[in-house]
Amino acid sequence: MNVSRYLKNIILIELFVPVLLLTIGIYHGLMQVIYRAGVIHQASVAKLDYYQGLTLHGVINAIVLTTFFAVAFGHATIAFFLKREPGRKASLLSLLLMVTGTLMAAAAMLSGKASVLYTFYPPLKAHPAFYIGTAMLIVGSWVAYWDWSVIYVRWKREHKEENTPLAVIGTLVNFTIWFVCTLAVAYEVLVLLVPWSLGWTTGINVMLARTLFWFFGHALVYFWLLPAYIMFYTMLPKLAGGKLYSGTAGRIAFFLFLLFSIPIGVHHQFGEPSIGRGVKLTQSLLTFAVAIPSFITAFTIAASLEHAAWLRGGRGLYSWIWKLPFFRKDVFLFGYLINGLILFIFGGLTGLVNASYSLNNTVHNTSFIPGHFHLTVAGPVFLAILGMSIFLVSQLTGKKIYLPAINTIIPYLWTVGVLIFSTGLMWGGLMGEPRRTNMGLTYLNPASELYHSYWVISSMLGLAGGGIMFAAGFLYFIVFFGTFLRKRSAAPMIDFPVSESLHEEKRIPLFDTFRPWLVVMGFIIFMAYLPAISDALNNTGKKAPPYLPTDPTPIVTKKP
Amino acid sequence: MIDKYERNVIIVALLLSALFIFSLFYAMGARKADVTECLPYDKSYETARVNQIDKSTYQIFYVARMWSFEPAITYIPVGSEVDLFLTSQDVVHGFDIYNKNVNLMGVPGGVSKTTVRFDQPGVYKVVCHEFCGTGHQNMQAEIIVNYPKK
Amino acid sequence: MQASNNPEKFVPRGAIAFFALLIVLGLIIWFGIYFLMLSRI
Repeated sequence: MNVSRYLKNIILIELFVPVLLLTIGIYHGLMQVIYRAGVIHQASVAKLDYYQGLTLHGVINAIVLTTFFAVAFGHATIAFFLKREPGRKASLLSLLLMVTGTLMAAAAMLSGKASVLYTFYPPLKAHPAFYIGTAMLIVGSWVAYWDWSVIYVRWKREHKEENTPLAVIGTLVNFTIWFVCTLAVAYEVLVLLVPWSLGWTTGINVMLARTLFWFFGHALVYFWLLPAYIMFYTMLPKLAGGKLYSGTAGRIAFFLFLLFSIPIGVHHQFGEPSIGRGVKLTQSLLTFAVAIPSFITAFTIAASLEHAAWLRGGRGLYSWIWKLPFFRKDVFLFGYLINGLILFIFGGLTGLVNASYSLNNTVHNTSFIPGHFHLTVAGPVFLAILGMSIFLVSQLTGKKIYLPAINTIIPYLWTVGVLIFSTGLMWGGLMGEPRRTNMGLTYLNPASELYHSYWVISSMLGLAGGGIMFAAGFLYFIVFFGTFLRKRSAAPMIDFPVSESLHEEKRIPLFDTFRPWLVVMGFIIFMAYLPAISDALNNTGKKAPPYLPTDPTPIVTKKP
Repeated sequence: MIDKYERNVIIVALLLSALFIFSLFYAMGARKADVTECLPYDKSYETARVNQIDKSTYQIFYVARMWSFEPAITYIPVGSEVDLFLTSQDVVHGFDIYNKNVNLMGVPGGVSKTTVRFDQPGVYKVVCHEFCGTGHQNMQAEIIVNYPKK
Repeated sequence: MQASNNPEKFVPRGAIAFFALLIVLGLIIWFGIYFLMLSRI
């Protein structure tokens, strides 16, 4: 379909800005593995400190890139599937808020005044611009969501008996989760952190802040993941040359995510005081519920791909796999998505380990955790973002992809890199290797008395994998920016590959409405989180003053 | 409404979850494998100390601060059962004992507690695994089991 | 519908096999770490 110049520019900016910043994020990803493997024994390189770089890596890759992409992809999805463009004022306001917020946070991080990592755990204090900037980025994404909701409600009024397209259900489910979960982090940032970082309040309830953060923090990973799920369900079968095995499965999966994405955040806090074991166990069990939609997806997508191969004559238990279009330039998105799914097999299963109550003792805050989440957020999520960003840029600018052969290889190279990297990190993690630590200074510095020889091989694997990932990322930048620089050869448009359903499917009203699901969602969240918040409020003994990462004395004591 | 294979997939996924959950409860009941216990906070936890309750039962009250643990080195006889308590005086810290089932967070205003048995002699390294500022990578402690022999 | 033009009916045997392997892999990873955890108590 044709898109207006206005919407086209909004989407292109929302892809260009985060990818430009991603160059910094990926550079620091490479630096991370170099420091950690003990190749260099320094606190900083090129005037950028390890922990500053880690903050940039986390915030840019996991918050900025993912949020911008989700909004850009949401605009495209709503416009394409509902045939209505998002409102001009709303999408411009959303863009301006997101860009301004990102620039503020980036300035705070690059000037070294916000080296508190992307989780910004108090009582470490960052510059207020970091908190306000992040909040603006989030609020900007809300504006787009409100606008789409209005468009959807109007569309639905005119199409009462028509099944809402699966991609639209997915987008709205995703942003509903996002809106609800970010309310908690917005409260944390605006009510607790900003006044405290400005010195208006003296102390903060650290456990309350952490509990509010993780109310948001785990739902965040589904916010990253659902755009990829939308592509798996609505595009991948078509790209493979077949049909979606079951659209109902997709609807069930999305609505289950709506119910269970948020009331499981305490599974990040098993090691923490103040929150009772009953709450921890409840939310651990609820995490098993959120694994169900992913198991459904694994089967449905596998069946859809097998069907595509079957149509091309592929038979047998596994030999059909070779009938799939792994390296075809015209359906290059297939390569990005299938590699994401391969990584997600391991990412999903290791995630179950992390959330499994007492098993968490073995992995919590060790490098097993980044090993795991690079198989998810740097797996299906990141690869879907890379592939779709090139796809959208090429279509919206009307320019052919630069170096199309390289473009088909990038996801494979990336996947090999992540598999090696994550193997190293997870193995090291099971041997107690800590995450978020400049190990080159101490644990992997033979000159230090803290030298820990067990972690040499595992961190070297991390380095090898990280190097390959960096190479793949570098090639992606060449293709992405190279495509921008080419000459226009076609009219701008959006034309997503759309998967039909294999079986004719009747519209099931329950899976085409939000209201009952929202009620149940609210109920489960309330039941799961009321005791968590109440524990954090009642069992925490004192409030904490702010600290700078460089100084063991609190900031307030220095003022007269 | 739903494809029969997909129904079976859901059933298998539920059975798998049930098996995992059963195993977790078994570990909790039979082997006391559990997560951090929640205790009400009081100021006394900010005093680092080691208490001997009886011949083979100890309590260690750890206090974490930027960038060390107190007590930095503890001597415990082999075969001891130790209650570990942890709080922080400043920012959030982590507490992970190498090769033991101990993984705690030290949070200001809160007390984490767990219990661990040391049946093998050796030097057990404790590493801070939560970012706590620029000296984070220097922050560690040791529990020395059965040394020196008394 | 595909099946009506084609006498052969599509049964997702490969996907079922894949799902079985996925479950087995899940059991291996999960119980591997479960017994590691128990050995550390």
